[in-house]
Amino acid sequence: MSEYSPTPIRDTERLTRFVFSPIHIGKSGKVKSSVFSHVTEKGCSIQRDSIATNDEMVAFVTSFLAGKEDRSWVGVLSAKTGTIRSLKVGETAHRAICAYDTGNENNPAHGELCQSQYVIEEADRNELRANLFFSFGEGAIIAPKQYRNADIWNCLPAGLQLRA
Amino acid sequence: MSTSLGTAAIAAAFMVMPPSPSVSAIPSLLEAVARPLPNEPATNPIPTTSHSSIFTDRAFTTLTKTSLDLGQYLDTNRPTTPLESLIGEIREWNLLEADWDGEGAQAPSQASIRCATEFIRLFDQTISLPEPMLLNSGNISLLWSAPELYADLEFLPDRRIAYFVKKSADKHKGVLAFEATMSPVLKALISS
Repeated sequence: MSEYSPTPIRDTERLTRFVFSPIHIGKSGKVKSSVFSHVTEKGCSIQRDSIATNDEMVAFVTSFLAGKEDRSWVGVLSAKTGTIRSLKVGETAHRAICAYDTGNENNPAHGELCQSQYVIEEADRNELRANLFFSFGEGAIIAPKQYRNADIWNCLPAGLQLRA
Repeated sequence: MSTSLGTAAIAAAFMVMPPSPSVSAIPSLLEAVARPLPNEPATNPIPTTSHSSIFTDRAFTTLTKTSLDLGQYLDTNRPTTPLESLIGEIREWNLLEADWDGEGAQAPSQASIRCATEFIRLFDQTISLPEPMLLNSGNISLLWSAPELYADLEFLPDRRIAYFVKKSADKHKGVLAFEATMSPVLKALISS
C-alpha cells in the first residue's frame, strides 16, 4: 500500500479509467480495448472514484493533457472493483487481475490494475483486454458533462474544454 | 547467348528467368503485380511475332500485365482505398517514440507493424475493416468490435499472431505463425 493511500482498494469501490483522444479512440469514435493494454505490462492507471475529490480529478486531467495539444479528454469508463477482481482467463479458476492502491502525493486516489501470475499464455493478454473492455461497460464512455454532474468538466481550463 | 538476339529479346528472356539469389528481393507490392496471375487468360493486346522462339505468349503476357498493373498503382488521381488508409494509419505509428501515450508505453515495434500491414493486404471482401490498435507493448493489434463479433489479433514481432475471438457464443484463442498467407482458421473466424 502506498503511504499516500487512505486504504487498500475495497471490492465495493468504483474504479474509473480516463479516456483520451486520439490514443484510446478509433476512427469510428468508439473506445478501443487497447485502453487496457497497460495491464499486462507496467500496470493500467485507474482512479478510485469512491474516494477521489473533484480537485484531484481536475489536477489529473490537466496534468495529463499538459503539453499535448492534439489530445482531449473524452470521458471515463467505469466498473466495480469486485467485478474486475473476479475476472479470469482461459480455463483457470484463478483471479487474472489485481487492483492496487498506488496513490501519490498529488493523486492519493490513484490505483493500478495489474495482471496476476495466472495470465501466462500470449493469447491470454488478448482475452484479458477483452474481459476488461466488457467489464468496463463494453466501452460505453461516460462523457465529461455527464460524469460527476460535470463538476470536473466545469473546473477544467477553457483551453482544455475547447479541445473536446 | 546468340548475338542475333536483340536487346528486347534479352530483356524478355530475363523476365522469364527464375530470380537470382544474388539479386535483392523485390518489394512485395511490386512482386505481386509482376508475377503472372494464376488462371489468367492468355489475352495479349500485343500480337506475337515470329522474331524469335524466346518471345513466348507468357513472356509477352508478363510484360504487358506488369506495365498495366503498375499503371494502376502509378495513377495519382485515383482515390485512396480504405485498406490503404488503414495501412497508412498503422505505418504512421513508425514515427512515434517510447512513451507515445504519456503512460510509459514502449516504442512501436517495426516488425509488428510490417507483419500487420502484410496481413491486411491479404484481406478480401468477406473481411470487414478492423480498428488498428497500438498497444502499450509497442505491438500492433487489429480489433473487430461488434455485437456479433469481437476479435483482437496481436502481431508479435517474431511473425506470430496471438488472437482472441468471440463470435456468437463461442470463444477462440491461440497463437499462429504468420507465413504471409491468410490462415484459413483466422479467416473463418473474422469473416462476416
